[in-house]
Amino acid sequence: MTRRLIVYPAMVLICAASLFPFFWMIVTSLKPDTEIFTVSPQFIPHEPILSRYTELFSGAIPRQFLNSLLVAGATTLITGLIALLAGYALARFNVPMKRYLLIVILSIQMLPQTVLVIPLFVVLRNTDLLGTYQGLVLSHLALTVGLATYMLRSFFMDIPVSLEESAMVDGASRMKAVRLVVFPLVWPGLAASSIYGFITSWNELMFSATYMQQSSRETLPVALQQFFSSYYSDWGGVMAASVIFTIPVVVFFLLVQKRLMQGMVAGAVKG
Amino acid sequence: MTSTTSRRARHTVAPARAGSRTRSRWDRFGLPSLLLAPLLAVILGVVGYPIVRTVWLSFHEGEYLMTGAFNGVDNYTEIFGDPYFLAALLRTTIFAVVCVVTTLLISLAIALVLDAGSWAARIVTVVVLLPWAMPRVASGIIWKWMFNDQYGIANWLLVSLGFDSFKGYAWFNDGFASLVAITIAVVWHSVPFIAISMLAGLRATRGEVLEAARVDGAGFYQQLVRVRLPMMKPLLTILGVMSTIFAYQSFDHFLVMTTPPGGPSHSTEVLSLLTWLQAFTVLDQGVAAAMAVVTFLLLAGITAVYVKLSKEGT
Amino acid sequence: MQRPWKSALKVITATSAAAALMLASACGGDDAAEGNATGEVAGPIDVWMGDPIGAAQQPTIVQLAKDYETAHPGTKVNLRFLGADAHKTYLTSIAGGTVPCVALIGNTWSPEFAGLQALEPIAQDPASMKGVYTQSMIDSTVLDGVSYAVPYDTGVRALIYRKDLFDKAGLAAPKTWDEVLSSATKVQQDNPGVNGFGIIGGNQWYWLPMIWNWGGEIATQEGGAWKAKVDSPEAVAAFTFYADLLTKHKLAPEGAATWQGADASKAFALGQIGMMVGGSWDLKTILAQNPGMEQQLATAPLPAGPGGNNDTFAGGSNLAIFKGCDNKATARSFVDFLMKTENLVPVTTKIGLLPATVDALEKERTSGSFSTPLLRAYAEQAPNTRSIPPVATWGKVEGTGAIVNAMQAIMNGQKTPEAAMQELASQIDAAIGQQ
Repeated sequence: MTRRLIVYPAMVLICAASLFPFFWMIVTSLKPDTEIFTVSPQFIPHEPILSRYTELFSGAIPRQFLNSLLVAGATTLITGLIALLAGYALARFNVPMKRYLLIVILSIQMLPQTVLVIPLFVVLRNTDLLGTYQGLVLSHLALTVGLATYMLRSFFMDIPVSLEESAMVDGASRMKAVRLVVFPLVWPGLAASSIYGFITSWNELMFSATYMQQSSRETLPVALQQFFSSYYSDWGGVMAASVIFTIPVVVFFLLVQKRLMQGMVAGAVKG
Repeated sequence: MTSTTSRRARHTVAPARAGSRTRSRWDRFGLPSLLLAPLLAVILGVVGYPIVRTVWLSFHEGEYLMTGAFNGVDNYTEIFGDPYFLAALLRTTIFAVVCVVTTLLISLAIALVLDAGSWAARIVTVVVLLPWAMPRVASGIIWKWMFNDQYGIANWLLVSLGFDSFKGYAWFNDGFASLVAITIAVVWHSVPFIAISMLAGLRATRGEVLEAARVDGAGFYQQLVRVRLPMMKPLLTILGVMSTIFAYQSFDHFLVMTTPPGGPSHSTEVLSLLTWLQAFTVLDQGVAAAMAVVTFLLLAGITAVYVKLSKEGT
Repeated sequence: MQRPWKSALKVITATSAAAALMLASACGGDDAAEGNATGEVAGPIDVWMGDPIGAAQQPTIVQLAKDYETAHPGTKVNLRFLGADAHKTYLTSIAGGTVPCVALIGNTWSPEFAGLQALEPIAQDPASMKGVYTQSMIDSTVLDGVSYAVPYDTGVRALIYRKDLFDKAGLAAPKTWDEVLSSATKVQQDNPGVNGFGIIGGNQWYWLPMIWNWGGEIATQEGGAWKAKVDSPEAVAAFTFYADLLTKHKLAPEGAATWQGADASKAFALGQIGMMVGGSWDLKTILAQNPGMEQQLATAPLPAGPGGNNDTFAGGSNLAIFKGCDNKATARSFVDFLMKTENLVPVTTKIGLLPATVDALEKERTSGSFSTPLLRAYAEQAPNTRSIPPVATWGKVEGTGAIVNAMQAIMNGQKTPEAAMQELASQIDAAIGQQ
């Protein structure tokens, strides 16, 4: 009984702390200025307005949205592919110097982005990739492949080798065994690492702000930061832009949260 | 990490069993090399080469982002003679320690609440992870708004609770208060991932050992400190390393929440922001590269210490 | 390779092909027509616009771009609107070689970008531009005797105050900074909820000219080399006076130490500010947010300081064509198009700035938006302007926020005014002193 007295109020508190900023962002974006700039806050807008959203959608936002989708989508796809192959190799083969390779893969995750931002700028400039989608996707791969490979390796290792071996003994080639037996089991892992890659790429600011200079190739984080720096006293408009930027990730996340949790749990337990 | 590898060695396929000699060769070297090639290409191309290049740049002049003459350790002497860099180094470290400790403690508390389990825990778990999905730029903006001096909900709440000195209190006027606000925003954003990972870790500790402790009459607290946390040590190490690195890398929140970036009057400059400004506003890539190298060495050192500490335990 | 691999390979090839296609088609939209070197007006150009083009002006610019494309079939104008950190964006793009064709840049940046070899010369002899553009704006485009930009808009700041509150207290528009202090204090005492003076700590252009009003200088040229003068007693006194308005006299909310012009305008529109220094564009912002305030406010030229002048900074923007542009013919034709009086005035009116061409300027003054009583003060202020040191490396002073940092250090008591200004002087020397 006492346990419940602690657990339930704590859960309410946790939910409130997690959700309030979302709530406040949406509410502010719907309030007319007279209701935003008040000393005691108004929690429910009296005369909600949608004009901020219609204005934003008639501007550059749809294009920036597509840019982000394209970059994050390509990053996710390529990350998944690379991690799938490498994860399988690292789980199933006695690769020489595997120990060191794993350490390298993990330490990629530990790299400060500032170490990469300058030389990648130089590299992309020299290869004429500065300001292109390909260039940004390449730079995002540096942030995603490490953990994605590690996650997928954990998944492959969870699948008993005996399953594969028995299939192979039965005459199936390794590829067939992998395709029929292993892939179906590794899907949750692929989903988890994909979401991780997608969110990382979708949210990334430093590389995007530095590399994507061409008109109409801005991604959303850059656009939002720029919008904020010019109109930041227009809090209603800024909040509306933030909502537009946040909703896709949240929806995507809610759709796949079950798989993501499985992936994270698997990753965490193996450490 | 390394202990994991050896523990799991039994998973490796013995390739010779399945086929001819040529096939085993292919299986042993060709196939894994082919599978690993894309990963290695990425590691070498967009990670390895840039790191080498950064180190190299840090020993050269780099005005206007053009690589100039070799200038020895001049860039390093310059940054270590720069009081703003030293202040940023110290500030980032203190900020990181505070962030990591708060994040880990709050995450553990949340994980324990969720682990206590009930019909609501599943829904709450999803809710907890939501802030992770909010883009950092957006979360910086929304927290800056909540900490607004005149119309912010934070000041309103504090005044309602009886702290009258917070009426119109300008959080972003001085470095310390700004850092408090930024810390709250960063912790809010980094807790979800850590908390859910800890929850998974806690669940994995359920079993015979814990049951035995319970039968022996160990209370909730004793179970946690004597049995569960020690069992989670490898996980806690990884989470510690991860949140330390997240904290040291914080960039988006600082860029969005301070005016001018790193201000007022340099009082919120942290390593990532300072390095980026040095590179792309002052346009001195040599000095910026030197700063990046220092950050890198610092983080590598911290990671090594964590790993060592976790090994000593086991 | 064994056969079963094939199906997997198919999947892999298919996915990567799809990815490649996606990328290609997405880029193709922009890159298909790769400029042209033939000097023909056709093909795409990138056009960037930063401050002062804000949300209110963007639709006008978008419409102009469409009009241009209609008038010149085969052209495509790719617009990008930059935020307040446009300066950083331009520098990065210059360093990376990803510059736009045409850009609207702050007038203080023109010598800097020209010094980086980034801009296409507009006139080898700036004297040829005389009579077409206002003189102070022509000056802002020149580096080493060559003009690198076309003056677009110009504006000054003046005093905006609540006439209703001043009348009630029996006050007239302040003529000196001392009167600003006394009347602001009175207005604040008489009207609860109103702050006496809108401090704008986060933007140097609102208070840096006070150094001139106190009889000081920002920097002077001594034998070819620039030397910072911001550590002079006059400059220290000017900065101290402004900081005291916030810290000692508490004439603005605490948070005003980091305010930008937009924050002060917002607060003014909400009826919380009695008086502020503001550009004609700030006045526009206030009236757009609260049209009813037109009856309550008035404007006056800036107050004078102990130095006996009320000089301010001549702000504005220039249109520049970048050297790296691969379609200069179209870029030039687009600049000409934007500079036509009938295309220029609607934009400057929307911003609340004066056009920088003499022709359009006359129209605005005599019969246009600047003939109203509310804007007359700006026309009166216009002759009393000076410019900042015309040095290519001035951008480093601006870009690093050194001036704002100095003021904020004084405001939050982190440094004494003397120490803060000495540090600022050494930073300015380091940036512009070498030439």
